[in-house]
Amino acid sequence: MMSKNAPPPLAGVRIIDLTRLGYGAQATALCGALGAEVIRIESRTRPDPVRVMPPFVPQPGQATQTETGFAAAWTPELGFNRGGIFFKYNTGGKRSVALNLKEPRGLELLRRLIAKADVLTESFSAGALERMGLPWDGLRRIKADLVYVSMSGFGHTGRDRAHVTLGPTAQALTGLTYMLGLPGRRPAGWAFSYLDHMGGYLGAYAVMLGLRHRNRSGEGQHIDIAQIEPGIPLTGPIALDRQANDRAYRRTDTPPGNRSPEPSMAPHGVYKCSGDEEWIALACRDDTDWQRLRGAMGDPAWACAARFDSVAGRRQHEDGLDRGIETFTIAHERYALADRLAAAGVPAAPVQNARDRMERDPQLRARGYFVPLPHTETGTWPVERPPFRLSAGDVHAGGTIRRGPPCLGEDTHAVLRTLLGLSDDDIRSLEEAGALR
Amino acid sequence: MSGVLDDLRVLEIGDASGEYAGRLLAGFGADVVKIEPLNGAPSRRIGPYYHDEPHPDRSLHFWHYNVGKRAAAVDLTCPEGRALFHRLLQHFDVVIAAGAPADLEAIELIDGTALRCKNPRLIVVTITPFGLDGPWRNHPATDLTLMALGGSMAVCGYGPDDPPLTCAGWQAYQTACVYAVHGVMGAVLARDLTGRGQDVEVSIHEAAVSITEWHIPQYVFTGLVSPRAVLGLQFPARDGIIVSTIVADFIGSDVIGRVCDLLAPDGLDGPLRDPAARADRRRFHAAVAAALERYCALHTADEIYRAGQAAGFPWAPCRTPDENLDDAHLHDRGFWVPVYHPELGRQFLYAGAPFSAPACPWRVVRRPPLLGEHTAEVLAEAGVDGVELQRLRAAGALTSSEGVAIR
Repeated sequence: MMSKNAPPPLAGVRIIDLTRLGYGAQATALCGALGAEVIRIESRTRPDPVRVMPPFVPQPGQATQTETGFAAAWTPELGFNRGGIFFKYNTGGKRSVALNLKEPRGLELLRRLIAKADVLTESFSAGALERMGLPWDGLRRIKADLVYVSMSGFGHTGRDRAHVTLGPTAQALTGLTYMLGLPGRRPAGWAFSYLDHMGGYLGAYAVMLGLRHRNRSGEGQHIDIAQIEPGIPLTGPIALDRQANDRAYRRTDTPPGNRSPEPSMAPHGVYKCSGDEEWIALACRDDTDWQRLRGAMGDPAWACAARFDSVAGRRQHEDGLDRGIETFTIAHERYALADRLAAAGVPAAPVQNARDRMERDPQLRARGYFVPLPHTETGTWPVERPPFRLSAGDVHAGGTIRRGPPCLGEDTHAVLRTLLGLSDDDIRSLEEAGALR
Repeated sequence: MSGVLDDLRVLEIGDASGEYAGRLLAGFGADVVKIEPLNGAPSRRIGPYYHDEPHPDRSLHFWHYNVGKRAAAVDLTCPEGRALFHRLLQHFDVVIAAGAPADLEAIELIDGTALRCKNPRLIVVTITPFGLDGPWRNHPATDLTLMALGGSMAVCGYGPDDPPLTCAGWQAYQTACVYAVHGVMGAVLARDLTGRGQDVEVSIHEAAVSITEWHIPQYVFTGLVSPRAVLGLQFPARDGIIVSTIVADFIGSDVIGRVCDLLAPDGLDGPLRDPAARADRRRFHAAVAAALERYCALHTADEIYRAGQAAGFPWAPCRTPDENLDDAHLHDRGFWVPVYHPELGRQFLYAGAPFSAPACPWRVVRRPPLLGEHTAEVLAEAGVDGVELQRLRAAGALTSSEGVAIR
């Protein structure tokens, strides 16, 4: 093993981060985990919606909420530092600087910070930064080799650039909503914003590509991400099928639910286990897997029927196949059964919810997937680390400062002092002018 | 204009779970060479196929994930093939190996430190179901079982009485591939400074866990677990297409005013205008849903999309992926990239850049490789001469003659 003491890959990179919500913020969280210094620019006059959205972080010593039903709405007493979802999106040791960009002096501070930055990120609607007085031409004059990554719904070019997205919008347009459901029924769609993740993750790729291009050529650029575009390749060969075979995907046999027409696999689904709302997912990749599963089930007579011997037969009789398998799984505890099937060589796994992932999953625990990080106001909480490791680079969910998500404006004074060389008097004057709200 | 990754030579090997990573690198200029078995990569046997004729060079699945790459067919089950593969590694910057740890061990690809004795600059990327340690390291897995463990299936589906569902396509694999690209970029940027490679270890399981947005924080901070449910308000339009409209979290008073304006021409805004109706949040949301459902039934999906967006709402029709081939906005942005397949005399539009980077743009310079198409070329670049090529063919490490391309 090489030394873990090597600096992380993005050591020395400074990102001025205007992103909000989940899509943009996850790009810079990854950059922070890879060692970049990420400075969030926020304002109490217009807080990030996830700072004021339930669930809320309990105060130290306070019991966690247990009431069910509609989550309580935000109230001013909660402040801006207890939005729980904020914790998911703003790892990476991000700093927070409060600037009121409606105040000329606040906007001027942003310009001065950009002059000290390698990267500027934002996730406003297309044109919003321009309307604030920071068009790309102006940004380049502030910092000639700036890597500017904009993360809007539809991008800054094209006829629909004024359109807006949330994760569900982007999922609907790309086809990812349609692709999650049972044939003949309405789409069920994703229960969360998958494309806030995948769009955001591509944002981190964009930052790193932009940095490498700058390092090699000295040239900055405006990289323009439209949330829908990283989503479309995730739908696989469906657009090629339409062109090659004139086959539209909108038909009665799509989407396939959990089944796998291509590559042809059967069984391939989820089956009820012994407990309430407990399921096991299993897949037979080939006939060998099926023979292993049949053996693990004790070679019941129904499963030994010749029609199930080949994958074509199992696909043709999949309803009966699935019913037969469930008569077996329903009698078993899901984790024990998954272990037993895995030991027999059959891909099988319990369907895990959030509690299972945190309390039961032995793999996540052994690999330290949840990392405790201190939050200045509410104590230490577990957050998720990036799902990759570098052998010679210190990748950490808490960034180089090993800290949880920032409180709003927590680093304002420190950053203005160290980065811009402001004095206490300067800061006091800015505060009085309302520029640091 | 040169690509930002045009100095990177990437060797890709293993099963289909890692192919999206190489595609994302190839589009920005990396020379990605796929090492495949003599009978072709497993993904060449995944349909649908061009004209529905199963053939290694006609898999549309393979095309989608391997456009822009080269391919060399080498039999790694024989010692000569493995030796050749390890010799190739000395000429590459990155190797991306995807599959079960045991399969990677069989080709001696797990120990990056040993590989770097011969090529100190080598970046060794493993994409495995569970990572390289932990109690589940060697468990067999597919995208379905990894999505089940990841947590999304527990909440995706029609409701508690219907089964947990995964999305078609391979979302766990693709997510892991995007993280693999982060690892590669981190390692490349580090190597640009230090001159040394390192290992990048990606767990598909962890990648699938990472994508569930608020579900982990909700459990951490409240102890609650969400039931399976459809997110947001989705209704059928007059033409039967489902439209994704508003998300409950974003129903504020400013939003409701604009919703009312949108519903007014159809006379559906009345019940929502009364401030008293807003007192009970749950009942008010139900009233909003009922009004939107009636509104959607009166208009086509595209009309609703345009009207909603004009009012500033993030609404959209639930399209199928292929319907985006007709989207004018995506064409304005040059998203669909034409790629010519000379053997078929046809051009196809491929999903293009994940983002627009004008100084180092996404480009596709090659159609997907035919089976073993670049074997001799790639070997020659590594200094394998004609005599040795014959020897390797005789030993069975390579196909005995050049592959025959389909016409």
